[in-house]
Amino acid sequence: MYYPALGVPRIGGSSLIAVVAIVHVFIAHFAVGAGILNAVAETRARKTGDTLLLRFVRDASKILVLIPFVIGAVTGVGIWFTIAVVAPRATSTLIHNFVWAWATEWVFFFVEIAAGYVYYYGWDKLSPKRHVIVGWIYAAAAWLSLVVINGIITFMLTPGRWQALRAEGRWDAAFWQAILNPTYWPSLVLRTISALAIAGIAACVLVHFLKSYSRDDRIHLIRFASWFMLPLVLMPAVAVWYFFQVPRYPRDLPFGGSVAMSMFFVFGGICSALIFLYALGVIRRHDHVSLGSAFVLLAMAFVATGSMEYVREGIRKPYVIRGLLWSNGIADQPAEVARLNAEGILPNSPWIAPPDRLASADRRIRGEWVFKAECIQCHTVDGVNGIRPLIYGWNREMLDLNIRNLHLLKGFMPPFIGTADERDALAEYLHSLNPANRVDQPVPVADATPRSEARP
Amino acid sequence: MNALLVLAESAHALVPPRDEFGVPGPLWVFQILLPFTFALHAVFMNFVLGGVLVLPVLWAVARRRDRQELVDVAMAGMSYLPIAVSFTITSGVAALLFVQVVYGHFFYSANILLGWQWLSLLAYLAIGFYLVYYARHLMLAGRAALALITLVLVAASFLMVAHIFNNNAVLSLRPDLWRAMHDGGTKHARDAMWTPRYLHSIVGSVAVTGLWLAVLGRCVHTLHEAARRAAVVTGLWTALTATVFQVVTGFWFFVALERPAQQAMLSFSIRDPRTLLWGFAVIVAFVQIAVLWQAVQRPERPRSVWLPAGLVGFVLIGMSAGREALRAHTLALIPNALYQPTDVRLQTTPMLLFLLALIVGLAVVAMLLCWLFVRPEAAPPNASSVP
Repeated sequence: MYYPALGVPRIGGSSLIAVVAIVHVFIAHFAVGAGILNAVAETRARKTGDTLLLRFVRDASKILVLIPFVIGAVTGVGIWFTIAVVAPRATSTLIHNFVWAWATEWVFFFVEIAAGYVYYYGWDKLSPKRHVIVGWIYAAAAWLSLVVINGIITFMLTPGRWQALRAEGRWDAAFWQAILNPTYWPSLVLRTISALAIAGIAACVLVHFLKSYSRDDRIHLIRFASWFMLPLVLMPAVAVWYFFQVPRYPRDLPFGGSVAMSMFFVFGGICSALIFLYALGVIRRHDHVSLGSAFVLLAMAFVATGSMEYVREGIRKPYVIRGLLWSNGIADQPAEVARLNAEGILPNSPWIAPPDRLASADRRIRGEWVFKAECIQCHTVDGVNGIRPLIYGWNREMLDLNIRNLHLLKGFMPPFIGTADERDALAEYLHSLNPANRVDQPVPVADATPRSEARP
Repeated sequence: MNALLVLAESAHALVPPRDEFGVPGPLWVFQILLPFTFALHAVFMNFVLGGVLVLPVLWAVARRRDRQELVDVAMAGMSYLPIAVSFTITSGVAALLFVQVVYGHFFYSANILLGWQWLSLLAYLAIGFYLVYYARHLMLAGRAALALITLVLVAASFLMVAHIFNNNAVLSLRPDLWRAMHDGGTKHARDAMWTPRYLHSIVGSVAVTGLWLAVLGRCVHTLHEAARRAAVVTGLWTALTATVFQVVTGFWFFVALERPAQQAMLSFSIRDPRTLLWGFAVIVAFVQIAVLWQAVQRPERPRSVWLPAGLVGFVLIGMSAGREALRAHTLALIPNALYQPTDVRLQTTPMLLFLLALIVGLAVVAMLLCWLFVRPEAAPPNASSVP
């Protein structure tokens, strides 16, 4: 509304964020888990004299440097760039409330990078004791950055009493309430379990790419790595804990309330369960995991991570920050809603509706501007979540009814905000999107032209 | 009418309002943190940008003239580039955070107006990052032609990153250009400060890289003696030459500013210590030329490296402070655009926690670097500077 809008053709802005975020989350979880895996492995190898394990940790530490530090860092900055471009107001809100949390996380990240490099370059330069300490510093710093960032991510779904405390002017208390919100602890446990499992699977893949390891060596190392997948057994219990902290409406979505949410939730659950069972089998039977199987496990871990992130983002709708900011960047605050309903959304969107053209623009153009101001954050016209197919066959009356009662008919949609004239203009614009199928009078279903034949 | 007055009169309608949640700490804290973290970022960023410009040339020329010690210097410098890129990105995150707190409404608008160009920065960054590793691999394998081509691509990638950041910096300061930009123009490129600003950052990076090379010559004991000496001499000469040009581009940058901005920068007011710090940095930049001239005469003296390295650190802080002063004074002309003390919503304990984490974190990093470089405990069997 207050910012210019970047059109992301076909896939839409939210999909762009999702792609960057899922890749980053997966890499970041790997970095956290790999840090712990490396530290545990080196400690154990040095205590027990397991030279094979020590050699593996040394060989694997290059991956620790190359993957998280390059892809992780670039996609991490990438999230900042994309959210600021696609959802600037939400980004601004988060920054102005959590900059100290992010700054603290940045310190941990800085230590993590420094420790990672010292760990990698220090194999021949540090004493074994110091090298183990550096490994644990890396692991602690990586996990602590998760500890902080988890607070901000979970806040967006379950802000707790944050708004009430802010209204009382208790900024400190509001901050801590926001960070340590109802889903903070279960989410932290879930993410830690995921991180360990991803690191374990990555080790199973990696062991095939390192030269001079025999099949028996690989079995030994894979068995060690599989132990890091076993905490997945705790996931169902922790997930129950998590969902009990989520308010009723969003909680129902992945349990049948929304087909897409339920499907992704089931995908994630099945993938996690299969990974756990595979790991259990490997440990009990001293099995070898082929490169192909290891890649399948890694792909399943990616699907599980992506699915659960999709569910987490999806059940937050229609909000970016629950109870405060809708997905379209309008605040769910009585004062702002009343002002925009009185003044209109377009006079407050100077980038979309140039003030000098506002009065002279025809109704359809104004409707398109309203669409850009209120809908384009989640919808495209023809691409991902495209509005044209979504309203195919709707007559003007249906459009009016839906726009008026958007939030009542669809729980994941925010209410329409704006004047009656703007609502009418939006309906006009949407109605114009499917000209070949304009049906202004209700038609019995049996008499309607089949879709495939009617499309232009 | 000068551009700043146009800005003040016409642009404020498009400038988003200040964030309703205010600023979670005293404004002066952010005014300190922003230039300091940017200066930290600049230390690494200049080595990356200058490194990809200087080191390939040094390597190619040294190979052609059969100067093995300079080839070794270039290789040693290249081996540190990937680490420097990591730290450039990491340290840049802090400056990115604080700029969003104080100037987010300008910064986001500029980001969105640049749109895909802004997002493409990530691709250039990733390409440059991986190609640095690949180029070094090719250099070690003796595949000179392919290594040079790769290094040209790396340099082009990082120059594009600098170009895009320059576009963003200029646009953030010139809301009066936003509408034209939004309607499809590239007017920001025609702003008088665009070219000198870009050149100032590039030439400065070469100067800083020269000093990095000199420091590497002093610190990296795994390099042989001739290479270490060559690193110091080459580094100091590079720094000296680039600093002279840097003064010229800096003067051009200053002249390109609008008169009110120049006056604000020259106020040297105790009420805005950033202008004072910047003024000192300008003086030190001139002193630096004399110091470097002396250093290249007798490069073997310890202070020939450490004094100019220390001075360039101060200059980076002063220039970062000047950068923020320029931004603050320019944007202050737009009514109600900047945060005021009444906007502060102080979060005391989170702020103190960050400061504590910062102190502990810096101490841990210092300890780690000390373990690796200053007091290594284990005798390296096959040590090299960087694997």
